[in-house]
Amino acid sequence: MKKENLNIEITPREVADKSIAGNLQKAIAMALDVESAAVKENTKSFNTNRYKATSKISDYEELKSRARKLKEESIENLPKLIEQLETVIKARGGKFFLASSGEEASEYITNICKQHNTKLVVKAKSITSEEIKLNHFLEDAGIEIAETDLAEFILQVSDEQPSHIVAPAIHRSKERISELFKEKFDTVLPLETGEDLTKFARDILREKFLTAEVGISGANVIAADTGSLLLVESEGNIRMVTQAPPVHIALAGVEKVIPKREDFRNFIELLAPSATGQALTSYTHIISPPLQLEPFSFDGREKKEREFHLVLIDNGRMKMREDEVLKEALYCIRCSACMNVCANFQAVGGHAFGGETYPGGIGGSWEAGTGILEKGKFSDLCTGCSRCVTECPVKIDIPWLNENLRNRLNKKNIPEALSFVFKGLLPTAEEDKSASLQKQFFANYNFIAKWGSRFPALANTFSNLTISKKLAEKILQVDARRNLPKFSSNTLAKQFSKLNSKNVTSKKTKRKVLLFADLFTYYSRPSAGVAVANVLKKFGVDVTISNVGNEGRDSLSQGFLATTKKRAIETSNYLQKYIDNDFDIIVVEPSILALFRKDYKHFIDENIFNKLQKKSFEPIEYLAKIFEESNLNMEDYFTIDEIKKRPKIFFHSHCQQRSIDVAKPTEDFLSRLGFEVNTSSVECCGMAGSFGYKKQYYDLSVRVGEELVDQIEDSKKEDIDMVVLSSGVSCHEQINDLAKTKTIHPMELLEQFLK
Amino acid sequence: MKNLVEQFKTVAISVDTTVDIIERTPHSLNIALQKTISKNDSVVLSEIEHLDVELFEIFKNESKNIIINPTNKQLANAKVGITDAFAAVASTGSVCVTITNSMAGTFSLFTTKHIAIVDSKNIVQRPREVFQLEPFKTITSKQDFLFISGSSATADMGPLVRGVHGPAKLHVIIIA
Repeated sequence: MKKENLNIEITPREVADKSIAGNLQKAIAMALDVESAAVKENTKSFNTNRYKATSKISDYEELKSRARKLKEESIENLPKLIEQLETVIKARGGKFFLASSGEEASEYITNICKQHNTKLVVKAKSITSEEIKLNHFLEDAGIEIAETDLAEFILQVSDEQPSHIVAPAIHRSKERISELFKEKFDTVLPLETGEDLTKFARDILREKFLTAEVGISGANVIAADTGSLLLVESEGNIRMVTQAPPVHIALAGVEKVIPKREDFRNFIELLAPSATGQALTSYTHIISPPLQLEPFSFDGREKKEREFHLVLIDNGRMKMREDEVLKEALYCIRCSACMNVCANFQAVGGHAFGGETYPGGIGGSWEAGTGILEKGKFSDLCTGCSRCVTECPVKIDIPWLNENLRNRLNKKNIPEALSFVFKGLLPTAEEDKSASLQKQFFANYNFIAKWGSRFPALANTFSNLTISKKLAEKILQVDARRNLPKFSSNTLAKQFSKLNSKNVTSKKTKRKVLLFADLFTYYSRPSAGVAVANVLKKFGVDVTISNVGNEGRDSLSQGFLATTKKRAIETSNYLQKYIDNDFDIIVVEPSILALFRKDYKHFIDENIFNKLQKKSFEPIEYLAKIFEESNLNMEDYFTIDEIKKRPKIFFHSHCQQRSIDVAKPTEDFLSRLGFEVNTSSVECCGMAGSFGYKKQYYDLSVRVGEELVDQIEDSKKEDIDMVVLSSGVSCHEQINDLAKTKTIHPMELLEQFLK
Repeated sequence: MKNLVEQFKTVAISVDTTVDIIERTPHSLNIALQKTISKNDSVVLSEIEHLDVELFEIFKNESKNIIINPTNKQLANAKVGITDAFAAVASTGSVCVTITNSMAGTFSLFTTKHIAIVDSKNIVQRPREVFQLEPFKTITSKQDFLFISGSSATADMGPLVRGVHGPAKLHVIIIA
């Protein structure tokens, strides 16, 4: 096949299987070069529309909970539901086939087609059919298969795998579709507009709808009580596929079955808003085939009775059901919200961040579950930013699935030759020691940084020397273009002790807080910690600094679950002592607050987790709480007149901060003070902890960061000295690196305006 | 109810639907239908199950180009499909149409223009209500049906394209 782009001699198909070494890297390079612009435009449009659509649903959270519960119960009772469904389908005059493998399903479908002397099959979109490579089986049997979903039509022409679960050809711009059609079809038509291209495809497909002997569809949801299918689409091709030909075959994974038809209502109200941001798609069907509708014969042939086959496939799903982690992936309703909201996905799409069939953050679990673990290697592109967690309509904790995949992949890793040197030195749990050196380095960054901090001048000089950077790049795959955060000898503890000796205006208070001294706040950005202490003290809060944290954020992001568990238990036991003595915990770094509020549930005792979740706070969230509970006035504490003189600021909140819903308190508090807060609209800065430092992801990280840089630069056009705020240390580093702009923590800004 | 009609109209227009609200008389319906159909259009009319059939009397008598029981060939070439809708949904701008031998679900598919007629009493607030409330529940628990929200749409060819791949136009007539 002729290559699409002369610069990149790679087709998406060639690099689809990410279990093959080097494919992920090649796919990222290909996607950044060829597909990025189209993917970004389209996913961002879906993303914006989803936010709008879901905000209009008054009981959105309740709907999500209901859908989640329904899926949990369905997967729990799946064997019984499948049995019930089989009985119902047969009683309705349909045929039922449960295929254990993709091959079995494809053979069954091919045989049905042969029995009907089928020359032409019309097929609606079915990602499951991509999974089982159905088209190859049909083509090998000499049967023509016409993809009638326009995206699948494009992919059939271009011989590419889907790059998105809802819009499988999202990686192709109008121009690239036009080029493709002109190359593959004998046409002199201009094919310039979307209408031209759509009409061109319609004219080809219309004829096929009217003459095909068999129609194949998927199913979004299947009800066991009535054998009904819920089918959601906007093009109308599913309507044609299910009505026009006499034989209808529906193909779906077993996980699509739920108990009752009336429960479709929950998915109907959730699916389109979560997917494309439509209130409903153009066509939402509820059918129980075989249809009670006279069969048609448009080409004058003898009319055949309507015939219906439901082909359910297992292909690894029942095994996923037994797997405590992968089970959650079976709840997926394939809406694509997790892809559209993901900054990395927006930059490369599913040809890089995806496998042979399944794309995105959820895709790794599906590739691993329906294939082999290694096919899910692209899940490494999930940075754990957790923006998808709040957006998933069935509340799947996708980062947790990916941390587990990483953990399993680490165990299968064959350690590099040099790793024995490090093994003994690093405090990694035995179970996590086979991971790559790069992962060992980042999973133990706290430990390494503590050593560095003993000789900060030496460590800073050393880590920024060209020779040591090159060594780090070679051995640890830390990109030499990055500077690791610097260590300050003037640590938070040192600065805090000076602060303590000062006279602080203080009221009598009952509030005591432990300021959690995470590694970065302690050594690299102590000014943020000092500001938090300073501001809180102004409100009479008794502030104590914790020991330097080793909470496990670094190890969790590398999939070191045993190591993280150890760190989580130690940290939570330490914090619990304070909580039991009426301390609240203030956490400067949002990713660590997210760890305490969300991720620790996987690692520590439930009671301790509940306490920690309730008692840990983001600094401004806590300040707002003080204001509200004590009914304070802003004017009494802050120099409002000074703020009015220069009110414009730019604020980039941390991705995890937004996911645990503690960015809004900062925005609201700053607005109430009179600041005009211009917030970034990107989902993530692209650095995402260690992600942007890794050599293999540097280009992707920079591409993701470019948009934030543009937004900052646009703001600076208004005021060159506009203050830029960032809450997270990795955002701070990314902005510093790419926009050459220093940021301060929002609390540092407040500190400047204290009375 | 008036609010539901208004809300339906606003939302439906936003998804590329045209909406006409008319009085409950055969005369009004005839005028409303005649003005949306061209003389040369071949028109197919489905069996009316969810409205008073007498409402259609004048229209049927005056229209020479309507086909009540089209052959498959006539169906494949028909331009306009007129059907009733057993419900409409205000929050989504959708009409609910059965897929049965009444042919509503079919005539709305093969034609390029679909005219759906719905009783204003049958407009509900949100999709779930057609599964929960009578008289809709009797239909939705048993019969095949679909929510139609606007013309066919695709974003697969770059920008959003409406009314090209599938049915081109949806016009809804609400009987007040």
